[in-house]
Parts: sequence; structure tokens; C-alpha cells
Amino acid sequence: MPNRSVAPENTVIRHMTLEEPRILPLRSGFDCYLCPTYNVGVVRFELYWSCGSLHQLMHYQAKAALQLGIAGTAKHSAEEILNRFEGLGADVQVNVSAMSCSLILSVASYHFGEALDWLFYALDEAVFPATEIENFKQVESAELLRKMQSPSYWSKRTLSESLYALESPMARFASPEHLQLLQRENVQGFYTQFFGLDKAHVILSGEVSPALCNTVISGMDKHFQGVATPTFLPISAINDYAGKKMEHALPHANQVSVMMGRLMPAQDSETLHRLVLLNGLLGGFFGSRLMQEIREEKGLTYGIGSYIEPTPEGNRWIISGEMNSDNAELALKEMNLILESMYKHAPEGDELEKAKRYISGQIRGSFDGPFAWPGKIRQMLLRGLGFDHYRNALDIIWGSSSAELCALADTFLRPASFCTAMAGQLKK
Amino acid sequence: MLKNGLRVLHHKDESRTTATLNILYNVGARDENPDKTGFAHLFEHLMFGGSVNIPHYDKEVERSGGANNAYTNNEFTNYYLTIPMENIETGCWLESDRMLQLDFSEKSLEVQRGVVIEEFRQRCFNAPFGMLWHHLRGLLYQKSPYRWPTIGLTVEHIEQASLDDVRDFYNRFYNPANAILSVVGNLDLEAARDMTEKWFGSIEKSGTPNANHYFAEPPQEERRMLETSDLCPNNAVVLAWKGPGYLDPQSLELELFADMLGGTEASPLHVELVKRSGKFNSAASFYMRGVNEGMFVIYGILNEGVSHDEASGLLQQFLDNASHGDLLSQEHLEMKVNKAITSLLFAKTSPANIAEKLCFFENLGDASLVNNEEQELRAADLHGIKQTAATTLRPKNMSVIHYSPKANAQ
Repeated sequence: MPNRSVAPENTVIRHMTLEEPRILPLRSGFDCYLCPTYNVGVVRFELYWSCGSLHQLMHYQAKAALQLGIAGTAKHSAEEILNRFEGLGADVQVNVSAMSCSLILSVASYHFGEALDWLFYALDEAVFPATEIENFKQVESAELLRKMQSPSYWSKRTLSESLYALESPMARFASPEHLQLLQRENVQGFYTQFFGLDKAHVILSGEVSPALCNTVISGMDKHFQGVATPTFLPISAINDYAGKKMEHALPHANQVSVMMGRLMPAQDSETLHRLVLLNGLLGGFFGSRLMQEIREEKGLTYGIGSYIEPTPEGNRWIISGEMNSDNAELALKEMNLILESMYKHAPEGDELEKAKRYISGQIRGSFDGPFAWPGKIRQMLLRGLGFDHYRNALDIIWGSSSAELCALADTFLRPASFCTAMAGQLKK
Repeated sequence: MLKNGLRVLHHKDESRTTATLNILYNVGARDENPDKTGFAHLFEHLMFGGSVNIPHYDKEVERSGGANNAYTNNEFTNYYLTIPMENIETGCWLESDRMLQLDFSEKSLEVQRGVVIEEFRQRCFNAPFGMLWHHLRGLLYQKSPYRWPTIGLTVEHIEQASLDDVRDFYNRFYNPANAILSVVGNLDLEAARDMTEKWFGSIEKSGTPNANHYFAEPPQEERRMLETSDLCPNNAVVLAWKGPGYLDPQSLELELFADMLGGTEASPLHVELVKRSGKFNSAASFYMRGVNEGMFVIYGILNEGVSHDEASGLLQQFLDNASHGDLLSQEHLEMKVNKAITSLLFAKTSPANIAEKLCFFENLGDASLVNNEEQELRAADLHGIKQTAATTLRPKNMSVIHYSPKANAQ
């Protein structure tokens, strides 16, 4: 019989061996990232642009431009284009965020060449049919109306509108009426300005043979039309938001969504890793203080957590949760207490050790598999980092002291430095 | 199979630094007492509340560098844990201990009741169309235990769950004979066998596999209708039918039919009813392939000025054309089969997916069925698919929901 009263001895993950992607230059001056190859029979080809909704002059311009870039040519309708992809067993996914966009082609290796040719054709010859634009407007309007019924949409919106000045792109939120302003010329114009094939990085992952890589590079290089102008991120004017509490009432809701947020300047690689560790301890995983106190001890919520995301000026730290209207103020009070505890009773001892073990295990595991690197490459491109950011990750995590984390918490986690947004059925 | 009845499956993956353990318990919402629904899901939460030797399950997972989660549906409950390969024994220790004996407490029950009730509110009361599964299951099933959703029929059922109920549920269903374990990682079969025998084989616990006998829903021979006002921005129409379980060849046929008809924005349903007619702002179809029961759903969210009856009529007409007419072609089928095969290839790159599938197919009766998926797709026949659709999706045994926005939710 095994001895169940004693845990098996665990190996602490302190090191990892990374096989890094190769970087091959494209004629355009952008790069092709060739991820380590796996014998899996499938390939992902990703076009990554360092521009997004922050660059648009009209709402939904970026999403419309990229989505409709594969929605029809002079000879083929949107359905014919999508059906041809399906016939090859391929899937095309479009992702648009504030600062970056991606178009990802996923396909079996044996169809990759054909699917790639078809993608290049669709993008090169895109005509942005008026019917497709109208369809886009209709579908997105309806989707937006659905989102606007949920408290979490409004807490996120209210928070952004509080953090940033109203004229800044980070505070701009669309209404269905805005969508109706989209016209073919402004969609096509955005596409031409920002989404050319010679303005994209390429990320290749899966079963990536040298021949496949050459096919991609020569295909991309054919589109080179001259040195591309770098895309600069518009910097937003920031409000005096600290300590403010904003509310948005939704009488039909019986929950409240709470979002606390603050902005931070850009950080170097070492500090970023420490912030990841600190965020983990705060609300980044199940064993975190927010999760344990507010969900597991007090049962006040199903979903609560925290995260750090990149912004044009650096970073944004968000703490969010959804709870019953009756518990919202109590939960908010607890959230503030936990923020304070991060510098008044900084993590140390077993709590800190456990978090380091968890995060280092997760970091190492996150490099497993054929599709591990693309997300990391996107982060590198967004934040201007190199591969050493990942090479050094475990050393920095393990080398972080309680005092260092306390200092970071003291700098960035004081409740009075946050803005709070609450949306839902608010009780007075 | 171990002596205590636990079935163990193994797949070697040399490419990863992590191992995955997946345990499927053959118990789901259909095993609940109709006056105490939501229990299987509540219990899933309680499984993380500590076991006889391990007071804090999640702490130990995190200490070993691992991560875990679980889900419940109408037919089974699935737990999975991914952990650094070096610490796979810790994974076995954790999973076997909570199979051996869970540590029940009033405090844990009280907290998880609160958490699950919040989840109920978040998913059902605060999300547009959040009550869809309550309505759909209640309409399709009037006698069988498939008639309530996994989250539970009402919040009150969860509020009333007692510690005795919890103990009884655990003792009935959480035993080795009612479970399937899969191990995926860089270890040989012999090593996997030795390790699982050590940790799980030593669980001497009585219990039998769930016999899975349920009150069978009588065939539906009449059209059923529900008009409801809920949180939603537009009117909507949902048409649904019951269908066969996973092992029935018609189950795959209905899945392919739904996919061809309305699986993407290039499908005929979206193209015709959303893009061209402008009557809907969203329209799609899908087939949920359950272990013993399936559900075919076709729905549309309406633009202003379109009545429920007109929308129902249009959706039905579409179904007719697809199952009896020539709306769907061999080309449509080939596209969907190719796409599905590519999806299978991508799924094989995920150890978690492999671990889950092994348990799923073993629960169906034979884990090796996982190797037949591609062959079955390639053997799909358009004529057979349309025939199945025509005989299953009849107007006279259809269930219809007409959704309208709740007045104060605008």
C-alpha cells in the first residue's frame, strides 16, 4: 500500500531547455518566425500586423478590413472563397485587438501549398463587395447589442472611459449606429494602408519543413512593394482616474460586474516576470489570494481574478469579478483589502514558494507542443522583447524575493491608485 | 482493468515535458433526483474541497507545477490534470486519494453552494439566451432525466443540497468500477501500469459501474411550442429535435447534416437567411452528439419586422430543401469531411484532448473507437445523410421556442 499521508517527492522546475524559433528575414524588412517543427501533419501560417483598432478612424474599421480582405474578389464570392478553404480542410481565423491583428491559416500539411496560394489570391485581389460590408454591419450590430446586455461589457467600457480621456482611441466604444457609417472606401482604405502582405510578420508552426518555409518566404517576398512605413501606436491622453468609482446601472441584471484598473509604464523583461509572479499571487491562478478569499472562503463569486495586459503606454492591471448584487459592495471591500495585503503582508514562505513552483511549472509546460511559440512571439512583438525574455524566465521567477515583490506591490497595488467600475443592478 | 474495476488507458507521448491524467466518472445530470437537480455539477466543485489525506487538493497541484479543471454534462463528469512529467506520481496521489475518500464538511458545502449559485446566475440569468437549455430540455424531454440542464433546474435545488445528499451521491457513483483513467505522457506502458496499480489498485472500495438505466422518453409525435420572454436583444426562433446517441451511425450523419446546412458563415443557411434575405442577423445549426442522446438545433435571431411565425416557416423550409431537395451537394459533404479530418489532426497535437477522448470512447464501450473517427467520416454518404435528416427532423415531432426580449431588459 502506498503511503498516502505523505506527498510523493516533487521535482521543482528550475530550468528548461528551449528550442527557439529561427528568424528569417523577408524582403519587406519584416520577419518570418520559423517555430520548431513537429511531425504532426498540420501547419499554422500566421500573418501578424502591429496595428489594430487603435489605428482606426471609425469604429470596426480594422475588423471589417481584415475580415473582408478574404470576402470576395472580382471572380469569386465570399462563399466561394470560404468554401474553397473548407474543401482543402483549412480554417482561416481573424483576430483583431487594440494594438495588433492576426490572420491565421490552419491546414493539413498536404494541402498547405494550395491553401496558401488561395489565401494570397484572396488577399491580393480583395474587392470588398458592398453586400459583404452590409452583412458585416448587420451581424456585428446584432452581436454588439447582445454584448451590451451583459454587466461585464459595461464594467469594462466604464473603466476604459474612466482611465482614458474621451477623445483617446482607448476610450472609444462603438454603438450599433456607428457601424452604419462604415463604407467600402474607408474599409478598403484601411486595408490598403495597414494590411498589405509586405507589412506583416509571418509565424509558421506545426510540421514546418524547409521546403514549406521556402514556399512561404518566396510567396511573401513577391508582395514586397517598397520599404514599409513603420506603424506607430497612438498614445492616449490619460484621465486623473485614481481613486474614482464609476457606476453603470443595468436594472435587468441580477449580478454586478466589478472591474478595478490602473495603468503602468512599460517594464523591462525582469520586472515583467516579477509582475507575472505578483499577479499570480494576487489573482492569477486558483491558489491566489483573490480566488481563495473571495470565492473559496466566502463563496461570494464564481469568477474573480486579475491580469496584466499591454497598452500603448505600457501596461494595464485589471482585477475583475462578477457577483450577486447583494454581495457586490462586500466583495469590492474584500478586493481592496486583498490589494492592501499584497504590500502590508507580502507573500513569503510557503505561499511564495508554492506560487513559484506553480508558475515555473506552467511556464515550462507552455513551451510544449508544435503551437507553443506563436502566442509568445506575439507578446515579444507587442512588447519589444527578445528570446532572452523566455530564456531567463525561470531564473528571474526563482530569484524574486518577498521584499522585491512587496516593493512592486507598494508601487502598483495601492487601492487608491485604481479606478473602480461597477455595472449591473447596483444596490444603494 | 485493475482488480477494483478501474479501467486504465495509456498513450505514450515523447514530445512533451508534461503528463496528463484524465478521469471520467460515469455520472452526470441524468443521474440526479428530479427534486435535487444540479447535484452532479455541485459535486464536481466539492471534489476540490479536500480528501482524507489531502486537505487542499489545489495547493498540492500548484506545488507540483500542475494545473487542473473539470466539467460536468448530462452524462458524465470529467476531471483532468496536467503536471510536469517528473511529478506524475503526485498526480496519481491526488486523484486516487479523492477517489478513495473525499473529506466532506458543512463549510465546504456552504461555500461551493454559493459559488455554484453565482455560476448559475452568471451563465443563466445574466447572459443573453442564458436560459435556453432550461427551455430546450424542458420542451424536448418531458419524462426522462435529460429534461433538466447540468447547472440545475432552479437555484433552490442547489440551496437545499445537504451533506447527506452529498455523501450518498459520492458513495453511489465515485468508485473505481465507475471510473476510467487515462495517462498520457512520456512514460512506457509498464511504468504507467506499475504506477496506476500502486496508487489506484490499492483502493479497495465497493461499488459497481453505473448501470445507466433511465426512464426512456416516449417518442415525440406532436409539435411542441414554448413562447418565452428572456434576456435577449432581439426576437429569436429555435427549432429542435431529439436524436440518437454517439454510437448510432445516424448521429454522425446528423452532425454532418447540421454542419453542411448551417455550420459556418459560408453555409447555405447563413448565406440565404442572413446575407441575402436580411431577415435574420444570425442563423446556424448544430448537432450535439451525446453518449446516449443527441439534439439537433437550428436557430435564427431575427431582425426587426420579422415575425416568429415567418422565421419558423423559413427555417423549416430550409430544412425541407436540405433533407428532401438538392440544396446540399456532394461538394458540401466533401468540404465538411475534409474540415473535420483536419480538425482530428489538430486534436491529436493536444495530449489533453487525447486523454479525454480515450476516456470518452472507453465510456462508450471501446477506447479503440478513437482510431475509427477518420474512417467513419470518409464513409459518410450524402444520400444516407439526407434520408436520416428527413426521417428524424419531421415537422410533426419538432419542438419550437419563440423568444422575445423581456420588456425591462432593453
